[in-house]
Amino acid sequence: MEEQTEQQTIEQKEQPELKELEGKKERYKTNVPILIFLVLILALIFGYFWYYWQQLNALPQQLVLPPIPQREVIEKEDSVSAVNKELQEIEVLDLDQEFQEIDQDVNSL
Amino acid sequence: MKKISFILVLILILGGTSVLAIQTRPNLSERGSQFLSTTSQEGLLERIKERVQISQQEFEQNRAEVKNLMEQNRIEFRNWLENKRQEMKAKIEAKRNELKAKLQKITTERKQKIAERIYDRINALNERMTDHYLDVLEKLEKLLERVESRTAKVKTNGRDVAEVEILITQAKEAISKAREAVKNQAQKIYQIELTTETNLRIDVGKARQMLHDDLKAVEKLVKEARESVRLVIVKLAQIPKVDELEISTTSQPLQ
Repeated sequence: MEEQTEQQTIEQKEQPELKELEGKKERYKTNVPILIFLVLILALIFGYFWYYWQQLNALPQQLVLPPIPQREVIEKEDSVSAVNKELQEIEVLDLDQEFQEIDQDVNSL
Repeated sequence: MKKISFILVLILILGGTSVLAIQTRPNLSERGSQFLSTTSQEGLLERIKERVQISQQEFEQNRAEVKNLMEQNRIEFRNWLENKRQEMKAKIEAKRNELKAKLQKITTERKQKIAERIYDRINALNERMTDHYLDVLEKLEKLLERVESRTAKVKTNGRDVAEVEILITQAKEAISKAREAVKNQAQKIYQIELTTETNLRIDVGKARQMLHDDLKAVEKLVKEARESVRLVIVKLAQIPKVDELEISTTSQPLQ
């Protein structure tokens, strides 16, 4: 008899815990679809970025734009600056230097 | 009788014109002077002077024609000079043989070889330097053509380029003068007039000095030509935004 009452008291003590466990199970059951939904959304976001990355890498080489020069440096062929630059490059040979070999020979006579 | 006199008159007229034609046709040696006027030829500014308006295409076409004419003249002058030099080579060789014979009589073998070498070097230097001066003048001509192009563009935009035009004319004259001097210099042959062995050094020195003085005179003219082109550029550069002006579709009348 005593054993029965003990059993009953134990069951009575365990009942709230069981109830709590069942409650947790139910909450879990209701959270599962939300979790699946979230995972799907994350998968979609990841998929979008992955696709975008693949597209970027798959661009043909010729479509890649060359680096844009910071400043237009092409000078007009008849511009004063271009003509002046070329004039500065025109050199007249040093005549006395050209005579050096001849002078050496003359001095050796 | 009338027929005979008519035929005689006809022969005289035809004969006269053909003689005139022969006389006016220059020979190869005279042709050299024709090429001298490369820069004094009708330039771009003169070509478009009379035009009320000019399109970009017409401008470029005129410019191309001027450049083409200049190039043709340059090639013809170079060819003429090459022919002249071929003729001169035989003369130089003949004079060299004369010198050799004289040297054999008055001096040692060592001095003989040196004197011959000097003779060769003097004439070779003349050829090299005249070629160099010619190169410089050709470069100056090309630059001046570009300056003319820029001046014409500035002018079509209604800017005053009167002073630049005067300087362009002066530069053309300076180049032409220098070219004439180079042409004359290129035709010279330098020879050593021998007297005695003791005077050998002096005699050889005289030929050397003569070449030096002649080349110095030509160099002066070439430098003056370069300076005249520089002055045009300086004057042109004083025009505001000179490098930005182009032939516009609504260009100003040229005068």
